[in-house]
Amino acid sequence: MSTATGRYKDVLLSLFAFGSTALILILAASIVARLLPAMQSLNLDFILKLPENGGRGGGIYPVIVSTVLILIISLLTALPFTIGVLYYSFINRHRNSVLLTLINTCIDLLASTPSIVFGLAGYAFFGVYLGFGYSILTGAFTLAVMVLPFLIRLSLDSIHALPEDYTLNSAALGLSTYTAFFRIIVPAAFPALVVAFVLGSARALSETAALLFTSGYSLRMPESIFDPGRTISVHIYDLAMNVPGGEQNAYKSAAILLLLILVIDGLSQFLMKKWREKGLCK
Amino acid sequence: MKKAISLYKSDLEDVRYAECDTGGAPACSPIEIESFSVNYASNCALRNISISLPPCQISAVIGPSGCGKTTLLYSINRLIDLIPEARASGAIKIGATDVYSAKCNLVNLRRRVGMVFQQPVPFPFSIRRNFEIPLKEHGIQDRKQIEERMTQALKDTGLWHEVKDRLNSSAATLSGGQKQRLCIARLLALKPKVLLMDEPCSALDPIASEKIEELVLSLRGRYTIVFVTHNLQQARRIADYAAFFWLKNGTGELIEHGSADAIFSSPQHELTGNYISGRAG
Ligand SMILES: Nc1ncnc2c1ncn2[C@@H]1O[C@H](COP(=O)(O)OP(=O)(O)OP(=O)(O)O)[C@@H](O)[C@H]1O
Ligand SMILES: [Mg+2]
Repeated sequence: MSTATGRYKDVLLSLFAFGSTALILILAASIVARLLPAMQSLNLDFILKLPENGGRGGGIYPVIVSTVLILIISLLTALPFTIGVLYYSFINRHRNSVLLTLINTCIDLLASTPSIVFGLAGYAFFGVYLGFGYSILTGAFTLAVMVLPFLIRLSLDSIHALPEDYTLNSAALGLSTYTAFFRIIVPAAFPALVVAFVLGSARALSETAALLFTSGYSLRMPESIFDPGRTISVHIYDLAMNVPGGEQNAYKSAAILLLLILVIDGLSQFLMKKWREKGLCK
Repeated sequence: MKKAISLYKSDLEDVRYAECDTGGAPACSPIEIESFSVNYASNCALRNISISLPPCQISAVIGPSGCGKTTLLYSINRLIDLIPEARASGAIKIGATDVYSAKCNLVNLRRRVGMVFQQPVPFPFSIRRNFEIPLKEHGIQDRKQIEERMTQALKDTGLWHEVKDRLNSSAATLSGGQKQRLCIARLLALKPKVLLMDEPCSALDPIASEKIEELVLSLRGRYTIVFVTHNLQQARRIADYAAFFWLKNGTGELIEHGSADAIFSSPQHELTGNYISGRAG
């Protein structure tokens, strides 16, 4: 390849790089511009008050409660499964395990399944078959299954990115596989694992389709996890599509959603800092 | 015993094995290797090695690149089990312990047979945590005892004064030579009986490498040390015993072994003579 065509390609690729950066910036700016007025009119009342008039007025307290409950329960449900798969793939890393192949295939299938299908299947299984009906629990479990492939894929990658040397050194020091995994591998990959869960949370928070059919869209305050509840994303969707005059509060709710994601991100940064100070991770 | 042993087993199974009894053996044990061979898939890396490495001495293992020196060390503490395509056959005994018996508990074996790698790999946590994890694994839970063992090991490796004020900072911030000494200290804290050292100085500058050399000499008599090196001067300086390996048609073979004096001053085999005088390899 001559230097001239090389330079030509460099310029072309740089243009694409600048172009995509510019596109993202424009999108981000337009989101901020739209949400800015909503953000300015945000106050504590919006977070702590009950909604009025179908969500057009008042606050979104029950929505926040449902969202947080669904998020926490779904992540807590997904966590042991994620760790289980990580551990299993760690101890079988040198073998052609049928189960691992199966898990990988399932992950790919699940990751490419439309979320509305998750909603239908989740309701059929958790709602009808297990009898949880339209409830926070049904929504959380469905969401757990939905983010699971995402969490597993991201955390597997973060563990594979660690040098094999850690495993060799652990073995040479006589550490059991269990200790090597939980005391060396997981803490060494901890920052990346946290990122995986933050991204997982963001994904879960933005989900609407799967939740419409599972946790329902009741605006009432859930009294237990067996009650239906509406998450912020579902609330935004409902206000924007079904409630004339709900736009104002839809934007305010969107602002809250973004803030929530920022809070989760901040929390994870804090967690990593604490671990680092304790010398528990890099 | 000589039939090929399929080494690849689930790590989880190890726990079931009874203890290898190195417990009753004297402070350091000889390593007896008998008709030992290793294949990587279809490629034979070591063929029919038989050698007895004397207890409490430093044995240098020398030979050209690819002749199976690392493979030999991996075989002694069964790290080779972790390499899926490797198949070993033959027998290795450390004192009374039959390393390849099905009853051998790998966790205990590897605590007693410590390994130092060419590239030091401290775990990416604090210096203190690097000691805590292995010590706790081997049943030392008491904070004070952990502290004592760590301090002693750091003093033995001459690292104490350099790190005593930063035990809680990340081991990743140490220099290469310090990392290597940390890895050695991490081993010594477990009170092993055998030390396997795989070119521990090759990634280090002459000063750091001299420190490691001094350290190894200071450990002589307390441990059975197997020291792989490409540096023949170094081997001459520290070794009591020496083994020379050579590549024959892609296969590592033991050519000659004996006291270091004998090997370096009057080698019996022509290949050995050529290699140590720099005419081959
Ligand atoms: N994991 C592996 N898979 C396949 N072949 C391997 C593996 N490790 C080593 N070998 C082969 O086994 C032979 C011996 O390797 P080994 O690492 O023991 O040599 P060495 O004497 O330590 O060499 P060096 O001095 O370069 O470290 C080499 O031919 C190498 O290619
Ligand atoms: Mg080597």
